[in-house]
Amino acid sequence: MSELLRCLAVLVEPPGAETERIAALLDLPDTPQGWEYNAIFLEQLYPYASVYLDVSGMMGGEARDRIAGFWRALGEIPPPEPDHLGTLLGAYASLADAAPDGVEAPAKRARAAWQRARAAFLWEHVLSWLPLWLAKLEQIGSPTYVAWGRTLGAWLTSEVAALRLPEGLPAHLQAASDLEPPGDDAEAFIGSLLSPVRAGFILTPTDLASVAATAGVALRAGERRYALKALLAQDAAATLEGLAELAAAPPALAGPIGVYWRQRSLRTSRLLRELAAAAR
Amino acid sequence: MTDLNELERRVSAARRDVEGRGETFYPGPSRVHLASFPPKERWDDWVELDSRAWPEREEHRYMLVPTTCFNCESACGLLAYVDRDSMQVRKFEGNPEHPGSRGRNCAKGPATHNQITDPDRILYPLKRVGERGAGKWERCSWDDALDDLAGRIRTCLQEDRHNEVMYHVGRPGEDGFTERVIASWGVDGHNSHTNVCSAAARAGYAFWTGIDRPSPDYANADVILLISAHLETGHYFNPHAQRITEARQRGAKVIVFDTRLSNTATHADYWLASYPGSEAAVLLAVANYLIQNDLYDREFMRRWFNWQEYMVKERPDEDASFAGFEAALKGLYTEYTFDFAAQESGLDADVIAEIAQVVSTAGTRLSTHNWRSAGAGNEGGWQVARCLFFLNALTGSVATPGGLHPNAWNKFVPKPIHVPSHPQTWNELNWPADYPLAMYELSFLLPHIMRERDARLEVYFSRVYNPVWTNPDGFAWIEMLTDPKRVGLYAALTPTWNETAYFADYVLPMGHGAERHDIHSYETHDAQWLGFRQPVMRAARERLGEKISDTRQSNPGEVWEENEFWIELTWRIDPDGELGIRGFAESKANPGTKLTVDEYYGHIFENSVPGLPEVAGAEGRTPLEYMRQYGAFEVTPLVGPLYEERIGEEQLEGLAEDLFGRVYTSAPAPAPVNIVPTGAPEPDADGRRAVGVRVDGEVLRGFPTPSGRLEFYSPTLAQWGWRDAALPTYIKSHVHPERMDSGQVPLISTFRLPVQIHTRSANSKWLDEIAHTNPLWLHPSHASEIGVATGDLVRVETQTGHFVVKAWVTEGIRPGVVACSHHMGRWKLHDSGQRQLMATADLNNDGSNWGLRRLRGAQPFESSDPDTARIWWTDVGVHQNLAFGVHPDPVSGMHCWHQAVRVSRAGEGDDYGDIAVDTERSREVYREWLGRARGAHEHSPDGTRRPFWLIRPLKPNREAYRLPEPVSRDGD
Repeated sequence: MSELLRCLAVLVEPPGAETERIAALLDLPDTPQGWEYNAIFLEQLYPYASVYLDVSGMMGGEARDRIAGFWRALGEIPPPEPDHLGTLLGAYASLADAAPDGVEAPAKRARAAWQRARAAFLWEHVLSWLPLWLAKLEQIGSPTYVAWGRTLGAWLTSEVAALRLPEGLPAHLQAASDLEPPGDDAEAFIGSLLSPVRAGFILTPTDLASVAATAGVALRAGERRYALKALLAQDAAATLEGLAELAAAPPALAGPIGVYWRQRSLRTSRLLRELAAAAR
Repeated sequence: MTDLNELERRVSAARRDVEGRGETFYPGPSRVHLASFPPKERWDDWVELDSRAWPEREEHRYMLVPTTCFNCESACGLLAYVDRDSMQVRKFEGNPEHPGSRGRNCAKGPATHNQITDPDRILYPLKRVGERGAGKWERCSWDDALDDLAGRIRTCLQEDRHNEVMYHVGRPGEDGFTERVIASWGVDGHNSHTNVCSAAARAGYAFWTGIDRPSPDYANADVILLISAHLETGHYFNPHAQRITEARQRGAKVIVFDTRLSNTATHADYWLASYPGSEAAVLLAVANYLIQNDLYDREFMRRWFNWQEYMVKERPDEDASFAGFEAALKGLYTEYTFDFAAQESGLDADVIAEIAQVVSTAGTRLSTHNWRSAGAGNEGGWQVARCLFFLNALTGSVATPGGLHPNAWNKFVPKPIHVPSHPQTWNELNWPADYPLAMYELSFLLPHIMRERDARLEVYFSRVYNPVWTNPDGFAWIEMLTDPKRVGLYAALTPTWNETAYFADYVLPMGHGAERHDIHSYETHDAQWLGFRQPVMRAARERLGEKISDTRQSNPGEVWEENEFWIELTWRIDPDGELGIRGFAESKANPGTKLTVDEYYGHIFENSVPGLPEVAGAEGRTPLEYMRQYGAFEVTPLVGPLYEERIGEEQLEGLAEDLFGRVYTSAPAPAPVNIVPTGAPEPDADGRRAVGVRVDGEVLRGFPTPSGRLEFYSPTLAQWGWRDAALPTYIKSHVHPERMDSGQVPLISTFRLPVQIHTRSANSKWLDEIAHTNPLWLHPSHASEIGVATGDLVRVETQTGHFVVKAWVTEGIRPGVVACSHHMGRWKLHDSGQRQLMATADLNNDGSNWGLRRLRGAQPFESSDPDTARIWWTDVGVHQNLAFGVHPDPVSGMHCWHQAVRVSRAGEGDDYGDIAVDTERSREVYREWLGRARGAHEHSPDGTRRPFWLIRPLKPNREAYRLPEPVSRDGD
C-alpha cells in the first residue's frame, strides 16, 4: 500500500502541478486549491505530530526528538521535520518497502524485524494522534480534504487490522502531564488547554469562534492564546462553559489510545465546568 | 467503502507510466521523495515569481541550463536560470541531477553570476603597448594573437626548441585535455600549480597505493579523521562536507588536526591544535597503539601489505614469515609513545590516547583525509599523508564502506577522440634531475631554474593562474617575466585581471564556468560520475533552434572557451599538416576540416561513457543532447574494493611471477574504458606487463604499485636515495623547534577563507563583501609579550624580507604560532584591473631590493552594476606570499609553506600592506633548499631521471627518461 500512501502524503504539501493528477487518481471530489490548503493546514490543523503530542502544544520539543530518535535507531539520518505528516507517511511507506522478500530464514527474520519496526512506528508516532486529527478534519475540513482524510483513515484502519501492534500506551502519551492547576498561573493553564496531549482535545480557531458566538462575546483576531485570553477576559464563565461543551464530546476512537484521548477530554470538560461554576 | 487495493493499483500504474516517460511523478517540494528542485521535465520552461516585484505576482519564465562551477576543483553542478524574455542568466542554483553535489552549492557557486556580470572583466583580447608591466594595452583581434603565438610555436618546433614552449595551469579544466594538446605538439611543456598545492599529500598516497589522491567514503564512516579544515574549504569540500554532515548526524566521530580553530575544528568531536609539523608523530603514536594492542586487521595486512618484500630486502636475517613481520612491526614504532607524541605536538598525552582508542573502534569504517594543510606546510609533509594512510591500512579500511578509497577508482575519465603519443623530449625546467621523486613539476622554482641555467622560453602561457601572486617569491617571477631574454612572449589566458597578467604581452579572455566546455569527474564518494560544463547561453540558444558554431557567438564580448582556442591554435601551428600535428585538431567525420566541440564531446559521450547512450536513447536524445540537458551522468553508483577483483582467465596467458607474487602476463591488455591516471608498474625483464598479484593462490587485480600491493615499504624510495624514509615515518619539519632560531615562530600561511578561492573569486561582489581581509592570528599571550592588540600593525620578518599586517588577537590559535590566510592581499599597479578586491599599489625596485607599498584600498565606483557604488570596505588584506622564499621538499617537490618568522610591533615608517624583499636572499634560500635534495645523477638506480611507474601528468616516452649529462649551473 506504499504507493497509495505516498500519494496521500503528497497532499499534505501545498497544491502544485501534480495535485490535479493525484486528486483524480484518488477519486477526490475536486482538486484541492491553495486557499483550501491554507485554511486547513496553515490555520486550523497544523500537520505536525509534535503539535498534538508535545506537552508544549507547539512544534518541536521532546515529541519531535522522540520521532527523530526512531530514525536514528534505524541508523538513518532524521529529516529536518521528522514529525511532519507527509514525512511520517513517507517514512512509513519506506518501512513497508524495506522488508526484504525471500523464503530463506535470514530473509524471514529480517522481514519480521522490519514488520516490528513498522508496527512500532505506526503505533508510537502515527496512531498516537492521527485518528484524533482526522476526526477534527472531518468536522471542519473542506469536502475535498475530508474525502482525502477518509481515504487516509481507511488506510489506517487496514494497517491496524493487518499488523500486530504493541501493547501499552505510546511513549508520547505516557509522558504527557496533566493540565496545569488553574489557580496558580492562568497563563500556564491557558497554555495547557491549547496542548492537545494534555487537554485531550484539539482547540482550533474555528472552535474558538464557535465558543465566542455561543457566549455572545467578541472574538478578537489573533493567535489562539491571544483570542482565548480575550474571551476569558470578557466573560470567563460563558467561555469556560463553551470550552467544556467542546471537550465533552470526544470522538469515538478505538483501542487504548482512543481511551486515553476520551478520558483526558472528559476530565478536562469536568474541570472546565467546575471552573465555570466558580466563575459565576 | 474505499477500495484501497484498487487505489493502490491505480496509483502504481500511473507512477510507472509517468516515470516511464522520464518525468517525475512527485514533483515539487515534497517530503515524500525529497524533490525540492524544479523537476527536470520542466527545465525548458520554468516559471518563478519575481521576488523584487512582491507583493505583485510577476511571473518570469526561465530555461534551466546545467553547467558546473569553475571556482574550486569540486566542479559542483549548477543550474543557470536563463530568462526566456531577455535571454540573460538571472541566477545560478544547484543542479539536483549532479551525483557529486546533489543540488547543493557553497557561496562560490551562485557567485558565478557576479563573475559573468563583473563590470571589470576582460571582454576582448588585449595586446601590450610599451614595456611589460607598464599597464598600457590595446585591443587586438583573436586572429592577430593566434597567428603570433602559432608562428612562434611552429618555429620552435621546426628548430627543435621544444622546451621553449610552456603552459602553466592553475585551475584545471578538463582532465587531460590540454596535456593532450601539448603532447600533440611533441612538447613536454605542461607545468601545473600542484607543487604549491597538493604534491606532498599526493606523494604520501602514491607511495602507498600507486594512486595519488584519497577518496574517503565519509557518509558511511564511523570515525572521520581530517588533517585539514576540510569541512569548509578543502577539495572537494561541498560534496564532502555534506557527506561528513550526514555521518555526523548518524553519530560518527570527527577528529580534526588544525593549529587554528577553523570552522571545521568547531564542528569536531576532537580538535587537536598540534604544533605545526608534528602531525605525523601523533599519527604514528596512534598506529603504535593499534600495533602494540593487536588492534589491527591482521588478515588484511597479511594479504595486502608488501611485508614479504620488506622482510627480504631490509631484514634478510630474520624470520620472513608474516609472524616474523608482525614481530618486526611491533619493534618499529615503539618510540612513538603517547608521551613522545605529546612532547612533539604539545597535545595532552591522554587526549592522544583517547583519539587512538576512538580510531581503534572504527573497524573498517575509518575515513581520513589530508590534502594541503600539514602536508603542504612542512618539509617531510608528504609523510603526514603516508602516516595517515597507515591508519587506514592497519584497520583494513581501504575501499570499504566508510573507508578510504584510492581516487582513481572513484573517478571516470573517458577516452577522447584523438590520443597523441608521448613526447620524445624532457623539459628540465619543469622536471629537474635534482628532484627525481617530485610528484609534479617544480613550477614554483621556474624563475630560479631559468636564471641558473640561463634558459629562455619563447612562448609561455599561464592559464587561469597567477604565479606572481599565488606562488612564493613573486618578485622573482616579476624579474623573470620582465626580462625579454628569458621570456619571448607571455600570453595570459584568464577570465579576470590578475597580478601576473599585468606583465603579459597578450591577455586573452577566457570564459567563466558558464561560458566554456569541460568534462570532469571527481572522487566525491564511492561512485563514478561525469559532469559537463557548458556555455549556458550557447546551450540555451541551441534549445531554441539556433545553430552556434563558435562559443564566442554566445559569450559576452569576445570571451572564448579554451577547447576551441586550443583546436584553432593547433590548426594554425600546422595548417598544412606538415608537422604531423594538425590531425589532432581535425574532424573525424569530415576529414580536412577542424574538429568542433560538438563532434569532440559527441564522440566521447557516444563511444566512451558506458551506459550513457542507452539512458539518453530511452529519452529519445543523443548522448550529447542528454548531457547538455542534465549536465551530469552517473557511470557507476558503487565501486568498492577493486584490488580484490579476480583477473579473468583470458588475461592469464604466459604468466610469470616474481618472488613476492607480482604476476606478469604476455596477454595483450584489454582496451581501457576508464583512462584515469594511475601508477604504471613496469613490465618484467621479458616485457610482460604487470597484470595482478597472487594472493592466497588467486591472481587479483591489486594496486598499481611496483609490487601490486600496498607498499608499507616503498622500494622506490629506498632505491632512489631515501631508504631512511621508505617506511611511514616522522620527519622533523623545517619549523620544528629544534630548527628555529631564537625568537622565531612558525607562520601558518596555508589556510583559505571559506568563501574565497585564490585569484578567481576577487570579481565576486557577494564573496568580497563577506571576506576581504587577512589579519595575523596571534594568541593573547604572544600579543601581550610583544605589546600589540587587535588592529595594531605588526611587522612579520621572513627569510627574504618582511610584510606589515594587522594583528588579530585570538585564543583560536595555539600559543607560539601565528597564522595568516593566503587568500587576500590582491593588488594592481594601475587604475585598470579589478577594483572590488584589489588595492592600488606602487612597486619599486633597486637592484635585488623590491618593495610594494599600498597607495589605496578598495573604493566605491560607478559602473554598470549599481552595487559597485556601495562598496564599503577598503581593506583587502596583505600579500604575504611575496615575502616567502622557495622551500622545495627534497622528496615530493612540494613547496613547504610554513615560514619561520619574527613578529614585532610595526615601526615608524611601516604602513599597512608594505612588502619588502631582497631577491638575492631569495636565491640563497633556493640554493639552501636545493642542498637538501638527493638528485637523480647521484641516486638513480637505473640511469633514468625519475621512476617510470610514477604518475606524471604529461608523460614523455621511455627514451626521454634516460639521464643526460649533468647540467651547467653557471647561468647564475
